[in-house]
Amino acid sequence: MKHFFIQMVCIIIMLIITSTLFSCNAKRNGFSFANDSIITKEISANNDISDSILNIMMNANRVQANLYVSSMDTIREIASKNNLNREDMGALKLSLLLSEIHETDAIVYGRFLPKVSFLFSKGKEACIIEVDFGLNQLKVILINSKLTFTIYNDILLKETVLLFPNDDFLPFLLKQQK
Amino acid sequence: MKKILFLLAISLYSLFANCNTIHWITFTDTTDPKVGEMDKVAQKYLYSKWIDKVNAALAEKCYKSKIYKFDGEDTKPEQCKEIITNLKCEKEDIVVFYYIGHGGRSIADNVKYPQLIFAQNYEEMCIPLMWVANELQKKNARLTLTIAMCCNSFTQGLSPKNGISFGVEKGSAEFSKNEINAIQKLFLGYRGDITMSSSSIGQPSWGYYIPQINASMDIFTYMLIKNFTEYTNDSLDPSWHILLSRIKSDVSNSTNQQRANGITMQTPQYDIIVQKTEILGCEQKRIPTPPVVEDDIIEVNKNGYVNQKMTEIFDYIINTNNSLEDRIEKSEKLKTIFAKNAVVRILGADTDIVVNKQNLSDYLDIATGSKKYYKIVIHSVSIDENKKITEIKVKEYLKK
Repeated sequence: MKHFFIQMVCIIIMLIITSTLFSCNAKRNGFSFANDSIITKEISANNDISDSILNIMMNANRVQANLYVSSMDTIREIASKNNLNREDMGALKLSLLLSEIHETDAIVYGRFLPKVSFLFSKGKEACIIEVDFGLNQLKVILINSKLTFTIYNDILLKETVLLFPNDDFLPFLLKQQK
Repeated sequence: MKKILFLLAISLYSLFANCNTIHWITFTDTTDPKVGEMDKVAQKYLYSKWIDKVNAALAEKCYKSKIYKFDGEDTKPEQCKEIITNLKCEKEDIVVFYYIGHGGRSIADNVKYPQLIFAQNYEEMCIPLMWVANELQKKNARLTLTIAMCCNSFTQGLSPKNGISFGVEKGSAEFSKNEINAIQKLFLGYRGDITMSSSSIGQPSWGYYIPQINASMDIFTYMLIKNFTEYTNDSLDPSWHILLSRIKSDVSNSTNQQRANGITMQTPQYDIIVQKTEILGCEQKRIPTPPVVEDDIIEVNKNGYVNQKMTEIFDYIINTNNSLEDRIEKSEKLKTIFAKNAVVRILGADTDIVVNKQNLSDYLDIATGSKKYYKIVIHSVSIDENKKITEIKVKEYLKK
């Protein structure tokens, strides 16, 4: 009972933060997470992505999104958004923060075939995220490293469906996850 | 080499003319940059803890074993198609197919089992597990097990397919009469088909560090072997339903507990269509037939072939159901292809570490007269320039 009560309080706090962010977004027509590092930390409590990487993502003023059709021997780009508008960028950043993501060094017995990639950049700082929604894995690529994470909810998938509504693979996966 | 193979083939034909066979077909993707190293551990574990053990238990009931072991660059869909299509088996034979490697499924696949990718990059070459299961079941063996340890997650660019478009112990392993009986009940006390994959629709399959064996390997193979070992030790009347449900539950629990390490739930799935049947006794009626060299399906490497044939001869020599005179005769015949100072190196049950060394002829004499062996598995054979055997490495499975 006590455990349930704590869970409920956490959910309510999370909802308040989320709704505050969305209302800010509506008012400001896009927002910067760099101004609100406390909120960023609160939201990303369930997220193993390190602060330094999150900072690059959240401070990015330019995000490029690419959609792919991959097969085992080729990866072909089929759609691209070179510069997401402020609303899409804000929503994508929020989706990443709200996603439950855990870093893993365990090996999965399926081929990682990215469906979408996001390039976050600001000045000389940049990082790329590649996502395979079939395996529910995400790779963060920096200049010298590549980290693998497992995604536990469908928030990022939903956002990607909104960004690329004409793809048929993503809605199928969304339906399966429900 | 040819002479040795010919001699082995001749002796074998007369020895096993009326024996049944357990066929093991294993594909392990040991050269994949991502999973290869873990698969080597899994393959070693699978053979020492499951395959060799089952073969030892079934040898007592006059079952010889035939192993088709594909790994490294031989983990090819073409090899799979060929071996499955050409496999010949008798009504009382047992067939076990086990795949360790990458897998996936198309969003349009309408069966619950995955497609096997093998060590290659062409989607059209992937083979659905259901095709393997269906083809093997058509052979009408007494028991057919088709198992795949791979992801069953949705994979881009994969088209739907119904068919194909083209823990260390030292010393020898010992096991009890109860364990032998339980293994015999599982493999000979049931008739039918079992199909299993390591994860359900949409799920990946995982490999990670397992403290109990101080190594990383896929969790499904580990749990299969762990449960098989524990269950055959504990149960007097084992059933496939209970064994597979225990594997399913353990894999689910283990992956669930690893959530903080970025691992998602993996739930094995299976279909069991079996009925209980009487365990056949060991009836060996040897018919004097002109020796014929059997077709060699295992053209993977000649050493593998020699190992297997030698194992089969050892099966005969240590089988106390055969008369001592016969065993001595076969043993003496075998000695003619040994070099003068040939040695046997005995490997630990779970390792490749040599735990004992002996003169090969002396070892053969002891093995022929002894009642302590369930199985002697030949792991490697060295041959000199005179085409004589200079050294063999073996693993022993002893009665407690």
